Amino acid sequence: MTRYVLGRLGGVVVILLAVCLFTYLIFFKLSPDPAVMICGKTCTPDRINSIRDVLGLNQPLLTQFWEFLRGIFAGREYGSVHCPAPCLGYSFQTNESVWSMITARLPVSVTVAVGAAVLWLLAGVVGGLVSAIKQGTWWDRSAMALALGGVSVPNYVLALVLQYVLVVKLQVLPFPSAPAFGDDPVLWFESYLMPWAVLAVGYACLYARLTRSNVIDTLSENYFRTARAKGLSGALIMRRHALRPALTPITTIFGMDFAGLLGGALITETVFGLNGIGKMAADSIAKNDQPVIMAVTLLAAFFVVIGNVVVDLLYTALDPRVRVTSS
Amino acid sequence: MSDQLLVVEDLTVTLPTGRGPVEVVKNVSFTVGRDDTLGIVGESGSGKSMTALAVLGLLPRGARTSGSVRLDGTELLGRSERDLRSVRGNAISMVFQDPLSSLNPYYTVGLQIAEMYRTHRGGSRRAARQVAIEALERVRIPDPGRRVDHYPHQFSGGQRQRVMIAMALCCSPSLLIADEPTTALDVTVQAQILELLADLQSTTGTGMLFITHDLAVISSIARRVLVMRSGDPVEYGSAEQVFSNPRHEYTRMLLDAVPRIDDEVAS
Repeated sequence: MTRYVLGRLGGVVVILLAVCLFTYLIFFKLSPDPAVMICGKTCTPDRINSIRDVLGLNQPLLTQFWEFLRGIFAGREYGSVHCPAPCLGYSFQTNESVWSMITARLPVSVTVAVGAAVLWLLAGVVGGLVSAIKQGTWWDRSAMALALGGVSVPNYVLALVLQYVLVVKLQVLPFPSAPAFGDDPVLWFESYLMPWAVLAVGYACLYARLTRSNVIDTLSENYFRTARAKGLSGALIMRRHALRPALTPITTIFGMDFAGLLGGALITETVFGLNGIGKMAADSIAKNDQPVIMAVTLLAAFFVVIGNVVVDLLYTALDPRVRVTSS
Repeated sequence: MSDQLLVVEDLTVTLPTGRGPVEVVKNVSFTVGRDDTLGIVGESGSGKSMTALAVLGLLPRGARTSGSVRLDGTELLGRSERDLRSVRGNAISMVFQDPLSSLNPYYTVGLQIAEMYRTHRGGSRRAARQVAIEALERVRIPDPGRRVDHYPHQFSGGQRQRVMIAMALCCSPSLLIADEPTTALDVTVQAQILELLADLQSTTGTGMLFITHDLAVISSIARRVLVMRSGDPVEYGSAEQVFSNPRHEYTRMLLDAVPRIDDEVAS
């Protein structure tokens, strides 16, 4: 088991290095010259050269990449400016340290992701479960029709409709402003309610359909029939012989979805003007702010890769068949 | 109280289908005594498994039954789910065809035996675990104290069926229904399982309803035989009489279909 974990972590390092290299190549080599972009409209060739010198753009590609990596772990110098580790460079637009931009915005994205995850897990799993038990009834049919509709509505449409109805017309919710929890917990909750709901709807619908079909599959398993033939109580049969087998595969999908969201919910954050990683990504792409794009991409890749490993380890704990073969 | 353990009279099972209700078991009557084994034989779709499931009230949703199923004189048909739960696994237990899919892969065999014992008999986890170890020992699983904590996929096919039998017998039921218990196993393991069942029956006095499509298996374990075909009871009598002097055409056909070692090979 220890060897398995170490092997997986080794794999993580390799994948992250590869992601670093590719993102670096795409954003620094295939994009417009950063020096020209920083220089702005009133620019001389001399000035461009000096900017290249400071950014290290005159050095060979591998040296540049090495400097970039070294910056993340040990910090680096940009001319006379020292960028302490973890250094992801400075925004071309605002000159702000990219790392501090991330640390300032990550809590917002995490709040959005966690709240939405709680909502969609509750709604999706409970809805799917009830549908499976009441298979074929009007409840099942309408819930599944609703779920299909929910998956089909784009996030931004739902976000705008909700804002118009709840904020503008009915005025039951404030416009989302991402206040700190400590300042005003009620306002905090009300502010995040719409982003959570908008983000959760699509996932909840998917999870409901998934849970329903998993539970129905489990109900036709032979071991479920055995459990009934053993005379176990209804609650015990449901909990042990239907829910556990049906929900185990859902943890995998949940882990990946959640990890993906930690890298920022681009559309939801942008529509609601929440200053998270997703909005930062959208802004930086619009302005071709390469260090920020690079950092956001790396961050998302980091979360997905780590999420993948966590899910795999969790799965070995949840499914004994995987556990025994892997050790 | 009669000396018959299980009395089934005019049992009819109707299943809903897309083209209206279909009778899959028609007016089937038989009895199983204590320490007795009745074999039900028939091809797939003859209604033998439906008959067994009807006895336990485990028929698919929408199924309707009529007739009478009495265990020790108590009627089982039409009883509530709650009443039936106290019968299932306790007075009547069942062993199924495919032991791998019939055991839950997520739990140790010990837990699966213990949960059934605790449901019917109560008691502590530790006591139930001890019961599970003893049950495994009775079906001759080597090193039961260690194996009790293993998962189904860690056992061989024959051992898994032994586990199922151990589980079925842990509450000392008066009737054991074995639905094709040896079909998924290879021939040598089949013989061991049949021998085990016969041994256990002689020590516990459990009545047995043995369902199979395999005449060779039936002839080695059952004292009396019920032959079924498309839901109809075709022939019912002692094993000796049915096998040596079949009265019905269909039984003769079934017997003729069994390949014999002294058959002449068609050239």
